Amino acid sequence: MHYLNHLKSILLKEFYQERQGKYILNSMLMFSLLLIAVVVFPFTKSDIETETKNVLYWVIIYFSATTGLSNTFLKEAQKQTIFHLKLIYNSYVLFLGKTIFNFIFLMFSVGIITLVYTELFSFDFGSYTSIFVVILLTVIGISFSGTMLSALISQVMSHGSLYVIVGFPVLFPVFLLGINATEFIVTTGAFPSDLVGFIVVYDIISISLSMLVFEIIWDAS
Amino acid sequence: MTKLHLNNISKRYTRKFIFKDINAEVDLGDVLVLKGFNGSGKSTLIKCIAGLLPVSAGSVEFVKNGNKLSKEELKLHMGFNAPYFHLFNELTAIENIQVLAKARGVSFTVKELNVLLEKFQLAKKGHISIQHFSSGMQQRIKLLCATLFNPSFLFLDEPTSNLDVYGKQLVEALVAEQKKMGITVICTNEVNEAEWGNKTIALS
Repeated sequence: MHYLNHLKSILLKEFYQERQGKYILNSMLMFSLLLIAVVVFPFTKSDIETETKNVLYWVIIYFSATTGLSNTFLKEAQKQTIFHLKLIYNSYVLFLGKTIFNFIFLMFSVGIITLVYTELFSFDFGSYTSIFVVILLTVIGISFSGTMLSALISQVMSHGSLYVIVGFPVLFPVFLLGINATEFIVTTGAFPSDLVGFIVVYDIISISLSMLVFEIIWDAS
Repeated sequence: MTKLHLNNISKRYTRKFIFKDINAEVDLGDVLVLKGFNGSGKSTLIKCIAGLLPVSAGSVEFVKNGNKLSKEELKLHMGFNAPYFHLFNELTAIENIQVLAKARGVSFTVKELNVLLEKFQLAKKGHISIQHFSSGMQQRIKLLCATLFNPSFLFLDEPTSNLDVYGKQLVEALVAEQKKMGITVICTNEVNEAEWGNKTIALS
């Protein structure tokens, strides 16, 4: 009950801050739409093959995620609210709350990207149930790893340019799995059980490691 | 029974000691004053006592109703305010209170919120984002949040900074009120604030 109250409080605080500053919405969604526009203008629909469309789709999600998630703890460091957070919340619940909030926004952002992208490129995913499972599991992994990386980067330096570089080796495996799983669905129409299995393994490792590492990072801040 | 024990606590960065072998026994109703010149380590000491910084040696124990409090339990019984401590600036005063209240699983009625804001001379400022507050008003809302749940352990670092004469009277009243409920630890260079305490640690 005590930790559930913490979780509700973190989500409320994040919602209030997002409503006021629109940090994630602006960076994540606007950046994605800008990327789509940049990709659309040089090509016509017929120029791009399905495989390329699929990779571009995940590249847009990658940059959208890294842009949005990098601010998670950076804004707390910049606004000097770390002590306040430490005084109120249990560190695990704080991490979980921020990850859940990032997950919700990332899913929303991916939903918008998917709608716009499929419309502009006439990209047919085939089985929407399968693609939803792949996206859901991939976004869970990205949210945990991305939030943990944000906490790490906020301790290392005062700006987030390092995030994309450091995030690449950590997030690359799950994006690669996402690309392959999507391609499998698009080309065969079947559910990519093996690849989804690997994504689940990534998620388990990501959740376990993030929770372990976050406390060390948080105590050092 | 509410107690605070400082057992030979020391803090050092690399080889340099900020303070060494600090001992104190603080009981319910006591006001512990941490005194010293600028750079003497007062703020580092209050952060170490409050658990915001780890000590290099020694231990800090908080006792409430005869039970030693864990780090997590302490969060439920502690209030803290300092110049380097910031609330969520984009949020309004009321939203900041609501976030704190939600973490404790309580909620305030509009009437209760208005009474609280009135007490801290922030009436009609509840719906303004605190980034638009003056430094004195920010200090008042931080004091409100620090004392919101009648903490057993109240930590105040330079509590009257940026406050006008009415604000200073408010802080004095808060410290007097806190004596009935728990322990207060104050960091100060002000002579009159140092007189509020009955126990003192002087850092050199």
